[in-house]
Amino acid sequence: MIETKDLTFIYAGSKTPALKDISLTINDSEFVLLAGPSGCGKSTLCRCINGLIPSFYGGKISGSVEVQNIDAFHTPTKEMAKKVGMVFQDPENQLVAMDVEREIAFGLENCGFSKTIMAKRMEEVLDTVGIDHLRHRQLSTLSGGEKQKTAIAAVLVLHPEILVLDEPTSELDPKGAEEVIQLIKRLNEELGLTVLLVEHRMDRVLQSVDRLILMKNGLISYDGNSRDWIDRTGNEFPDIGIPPIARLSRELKKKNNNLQIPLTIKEGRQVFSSMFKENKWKKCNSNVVQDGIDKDNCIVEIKNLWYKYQDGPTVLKDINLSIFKGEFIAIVGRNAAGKTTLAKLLTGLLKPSKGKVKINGIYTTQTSVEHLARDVGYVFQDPNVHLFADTVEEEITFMMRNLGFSNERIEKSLDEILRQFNLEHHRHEYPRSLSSGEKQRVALSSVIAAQPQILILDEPTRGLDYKLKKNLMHYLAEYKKGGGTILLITHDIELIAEFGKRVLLMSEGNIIADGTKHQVLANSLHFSPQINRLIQPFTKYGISSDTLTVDEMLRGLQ
Amino acid sequence: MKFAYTNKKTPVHRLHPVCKIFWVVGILTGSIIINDPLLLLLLFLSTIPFAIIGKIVRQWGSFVKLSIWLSFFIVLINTLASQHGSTILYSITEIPIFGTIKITLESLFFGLGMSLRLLSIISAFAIITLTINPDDLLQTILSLKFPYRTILTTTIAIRFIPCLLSDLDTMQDSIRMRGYQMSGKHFISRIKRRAVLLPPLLSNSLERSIQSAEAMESRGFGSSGKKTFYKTIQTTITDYFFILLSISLFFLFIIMWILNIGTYNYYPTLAPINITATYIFLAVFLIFLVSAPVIFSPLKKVIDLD
Repeated sequence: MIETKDLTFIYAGSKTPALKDISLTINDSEFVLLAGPSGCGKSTLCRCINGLIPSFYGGKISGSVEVQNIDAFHTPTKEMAKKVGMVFQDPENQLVAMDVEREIAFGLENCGFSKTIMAKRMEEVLDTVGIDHLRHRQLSTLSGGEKQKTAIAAVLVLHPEILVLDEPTSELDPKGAEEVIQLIKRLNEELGLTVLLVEHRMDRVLQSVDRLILMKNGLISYDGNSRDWIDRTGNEFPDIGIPPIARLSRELKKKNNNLQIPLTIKEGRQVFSSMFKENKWKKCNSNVVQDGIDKDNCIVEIKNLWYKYQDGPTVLKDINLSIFKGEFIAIVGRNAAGKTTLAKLLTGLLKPSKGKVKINGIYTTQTSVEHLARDVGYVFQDPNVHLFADTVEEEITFMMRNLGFSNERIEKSLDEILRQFNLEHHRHEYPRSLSSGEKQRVALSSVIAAQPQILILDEPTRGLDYKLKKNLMHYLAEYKKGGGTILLITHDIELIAEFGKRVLLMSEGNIIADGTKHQVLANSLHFSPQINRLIQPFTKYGISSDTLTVDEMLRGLQ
Repeated sequence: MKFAYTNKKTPVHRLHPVCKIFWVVGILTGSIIINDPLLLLLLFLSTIPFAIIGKIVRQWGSFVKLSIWLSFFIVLINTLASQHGSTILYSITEIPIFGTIKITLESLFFGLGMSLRLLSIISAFAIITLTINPDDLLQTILSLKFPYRTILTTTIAIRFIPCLLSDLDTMQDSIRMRGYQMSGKHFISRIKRRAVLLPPLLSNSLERSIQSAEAMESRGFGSSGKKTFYKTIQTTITDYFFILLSISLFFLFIIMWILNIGTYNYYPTLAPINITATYIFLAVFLIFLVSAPVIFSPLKKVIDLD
């Protein structure tokens, strides 16, 4: 059992408390989802449970935390390790050894277990986590998901009764994330482990958790059943995204109050079946027409493009693609489908092995990356790789200065950008000390400030909460209004379903589908959004088979 | 990941870390004591089969390439700075402050000899870096009673190098795509332009290390009581044999030093090189040493199967 009483914590050097009077009891074997916007205190709470706060992070603390009747405040983290297993966000930075077996044994070795016990526990944990086949592999050869499973095995091996996971999937691709989530569910169900999970992808876990705790500004704003939350109070939390299917049911409840709240496609089909049958549906014109496209201005022209890495596989095979000014294109596809490589070829960082890439009438082979930067802006997933300067202001003007903009123009755009991205208060602050959402805004604004004609974003929403995602899409819409062309590489199907226009689906170096989001995302098993997967058997009742979002669903309802 | 250890399961990789450490000590001693160019060449050549058997020729080659570059400077500086030797190849007169600079055949050869010395040392170190599993090394050094925390910190630091390099790559791409010219006209300006990457790189690694420390603490690092080891590093007959050979190599060099064998006089004029019994003995010994891991690997397999 975890029990906190009036827990308040203020980080050293901070004035506002990260946690305020948190009183909470988590029972044995409970599966608890902890959610809330970035910076709400989720991670801080996790660290209080295994004693990292206060023994690793200093600060002002009051109240109490008891874990299995042990006072977590006064027990060092290394002792708490036997009670609480803690898994962190970045799989890379929490591993210490070279191979899987040694990584798992690290905790056992620290605690001085004998060889026979270690051998037994090793076998147990490898089977439990299902990574027996990886035991002799080197960590550097594992995928992100496999690394994260190794990290989970490495804490489980100490036989903790509680597992605390702080955003374990936010650095992983969807497949890895799914595997890790499934594992966590299984550990809770089969071993009865108490699980406290911090997770943004609520749609993946809501149906499995016993309890949902929401936090905001260091306070607990909701604590209870997840279905009740969606049913009764969901509207009060615009910052937190709920699964589309749950949102749909909340909307439909206004028509039929007896409706239950489904959390999975399976439940959804059962709940909605009769309602969908009785309703009359009108055909919606789902053909989105992208406005603001200049069909005469082909800004990117790719012809017979092949790319092969030196001593590596062929990553792109005979790509032909035209992008017009003002388009919003999303590129989806599995890992290693060639999405990022294609983007890098547009920036000139990579040069074609065969074929041609023409940006604004200039072949990328005939110019430099630095020169192409005028036309093509690139935003990485991790904002940290964008932040070089000492102040936000310098960061934003950096690119403009490199490109030789006049001082007048720089001053003017700076003020505009700071206002547009709501960064005015942070103008003179050190960019790296900002919160993750703010950092991303700085990174994005630092590229947009130079007004490139094409903006490429590589996985910009991975690890972002719902509110930050919405903000990001808002900024992108603004940029597009100004005549910009956007190329978004993403795994986030729900995001494209809502905001996308043209979608490219890539696989093994080929573009296998190119069309509007309705053409590409509808009627697929894997690349369809939740709503589309829900309605697939109901099209016989007149629901448009290419319905992708809740809003489209509601529009089709008569 | 180019310069990091990868487990290739070759006889060289299978050797006990201690063996390889003894071997490197042997080669190091030899390269320092000997200054006879032929013997030094022999020493360098004797390291090559390890790279071949260990299947690390490409990465090893990069280290050797680097040392060839360094050698170039050694030869250049030596020939210009050392004014010894009697066979003058070329002399540059009337240079202000320096006066006359003469380039002699002897100093050229001396420089080449020193380069061979460097080459063997770098080659040997490259081989152990590329074939010893850092975890095994950590465990081995610990068993020699070195302080645990210091050693662990060092290995983790080494583990971070590939991450750091990939961070650097991404940042470099990112900054170039923001129109920043990485290349300058002059060497100095190039370095200056690159320096902007240092603060963010440093701050990234700092963040990494904090996260790493947190994770270790959460897994019982620093618990009271004795630390145990999950794996035992097996010592085989090959290992003992190889250690014995390496130790004898070490003493052989010491004896050579005492008896003044293997010294060569570059100045005032290059001494003639006689192929003596020493050379032949040393050559045979080195060949034997090199083949030991290969000869005994089938034997080790048999033992493993038992």
